[in-house]
Amino acid sequence: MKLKRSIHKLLIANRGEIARRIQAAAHARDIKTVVVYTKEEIHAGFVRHAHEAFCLQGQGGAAYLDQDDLIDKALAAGADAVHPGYGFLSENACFAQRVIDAGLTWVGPSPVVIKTMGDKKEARQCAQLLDVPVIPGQCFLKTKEGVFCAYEYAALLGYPVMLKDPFAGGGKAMRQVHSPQDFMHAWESVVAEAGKGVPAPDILVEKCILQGRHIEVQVAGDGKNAIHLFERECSLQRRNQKIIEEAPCLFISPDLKQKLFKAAVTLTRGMSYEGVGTLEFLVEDESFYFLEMNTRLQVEHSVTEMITGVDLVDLQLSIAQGEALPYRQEDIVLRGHAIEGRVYAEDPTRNFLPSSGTIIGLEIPSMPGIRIDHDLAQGTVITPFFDPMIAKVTAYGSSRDNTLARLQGALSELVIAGVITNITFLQALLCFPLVQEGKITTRLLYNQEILLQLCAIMATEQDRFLVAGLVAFEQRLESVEFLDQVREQDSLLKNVDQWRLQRWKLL
Amino acid sequence: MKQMVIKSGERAYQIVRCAHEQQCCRMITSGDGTELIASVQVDISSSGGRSFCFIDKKLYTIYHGPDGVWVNNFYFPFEVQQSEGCAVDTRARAIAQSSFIVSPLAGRVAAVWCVPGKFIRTGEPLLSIESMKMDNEICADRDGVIKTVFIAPGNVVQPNERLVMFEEEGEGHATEKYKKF
Repeated sequence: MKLKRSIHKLLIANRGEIARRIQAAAHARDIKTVVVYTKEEIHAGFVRHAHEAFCLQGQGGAAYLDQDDLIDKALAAGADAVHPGYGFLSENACFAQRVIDAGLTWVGPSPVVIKTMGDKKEARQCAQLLDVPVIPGQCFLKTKEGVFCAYEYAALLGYPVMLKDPFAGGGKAMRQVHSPQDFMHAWESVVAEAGKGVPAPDILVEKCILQGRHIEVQVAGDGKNAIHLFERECSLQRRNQKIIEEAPCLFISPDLKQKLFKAAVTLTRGMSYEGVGTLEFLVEDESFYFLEMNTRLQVEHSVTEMITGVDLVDLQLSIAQGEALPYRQEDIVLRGHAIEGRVYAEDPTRNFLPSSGTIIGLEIPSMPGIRIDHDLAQGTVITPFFDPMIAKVTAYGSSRDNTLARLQGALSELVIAGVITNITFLQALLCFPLVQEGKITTRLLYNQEILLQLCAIMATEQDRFLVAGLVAFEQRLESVEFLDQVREQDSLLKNVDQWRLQRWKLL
Repeated sequence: MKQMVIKSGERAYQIVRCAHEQQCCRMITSGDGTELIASVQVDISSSGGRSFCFIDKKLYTIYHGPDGVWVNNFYFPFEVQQSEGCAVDTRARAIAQSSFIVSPLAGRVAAVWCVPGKFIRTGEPLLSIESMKMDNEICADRDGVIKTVFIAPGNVVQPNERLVMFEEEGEGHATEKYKKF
């Protein structure tokens, strides 16, 4: 019998849009929220909406990684649980353990599971034990003999191959090698890049699957039972960062889907997983390979919430409190289609250079089937110190075409002025024939020709907007004369006020 | 008939207001006034610091920034074309600026690989600026000798902030000549 630990006050060790999302779920359960922030973020929405807020000692992203400071703040506030959100410390087994050791509830799976799944080598072994297929590959030590064996092995696998650091995630320390001549250079750069984090003793050499789709399965487990909440198609990526995600995926066979679900549930149950998580698979034709498991909530959880109606953060809180899964597999019903576009503060016309600034204008549309997760307001400063993702737009519809149209509609009415964003790029991408037909692979946006075509779509669009801009600019300059007149009238009004004031005093 | 010339980046646009069937129209041309960009009938209104523009039954929302306008999610730097004298002035400034490498973005300097006196070839990385968790390499856009490095690792830089200054053309050679003779 598991101990029930009810949560009354939750510390959110995150910021921005996801902090707001967690707050929404916590407040609905009557759980008070405590947030942490850096001093530039004092006016942020997540700080305003919290019951208590603590300013972190550090600056920028590093502040949210300061484990001592976070645990101190949690204890000082009298919080009884910690939700890590995603990014930052969400997949840090050491932090999870420290939270538990401090007598607090960790909203997420156990540190052991986080550690196992955070190591690509162990995760592969775990999958193989449970008969879940993995990409053909092997780990080699970072020694002279290791490199030699790896080189031989790569030739055996056949090029192209993929080199990965087993501890790295999020597209970091990962290289594609197309020929034996490039092998040594790629090996060295992966070793160098991996050096930034905790160094792994070895490097993973895998067969490279070029025409693959990135399909992931959302799962939830309470330690005893496990269920899946269908799949998400996340093939549209740039620099290994997802841009557009959708659920369900209409382009793989129902048979294959059932196999994916079975593998996902087997792994989740096999690990006695407690919490919500995601299993990532690479799918090529009718075969699939397990890539990795994300032991946290994901950015794109909103598409799953749309098609199943399940509040995944609420589910996390319920599992963290030691409750049994409130759903059986047959309770989870898929309905409709959902697509999410991630809004990044980057300039698509300047090779996606990050952009920062102050938001001077914001128009958030409200329309059927549209959900926009953000923590923006007029005056919000987008600093260069955090992740460039500033908002997510999720559309829900009866069919894929209907959903695409709704997402386009929402993006065309969404205005974020003051910071350059990729919204125009998302719009161009959504009307691109290959995307509309669903012929998407993880390599699509690596194709220079396609990127050029997308830029051409954006450029034609831009001309239309330029005309509007010129006309409005000219009109405003014209009205400066008029404004001068208004100012004159203003001073007259002030005189009137003075006169009124004086009369008031006399009375 | 009223006319105004607006500059956006490298291009200049002429806007001419004209009446057409009792409606106010705008004709926009570019270059020397021969390239027609658009001839549109617009319905324009303003409220709360923004303008709304109806063209071809489509709505555009415009926010006015200090150096340009935001039209929905597009940004256009605009300035009113000044008289001849001032144009020369900006060109002079452009020449003075050309010996600098300026930051294309805001961020924190992660690494600096160049030192004063070093000869740099076009495309060679000079420094790296970390912004939004990504490292952005800033490379030389010309061959030349570094004269001054204005920043150090850890500094926070703003867009257009001067990072590195190259020696003026001929300057380096001059010193070499002096050394020789």
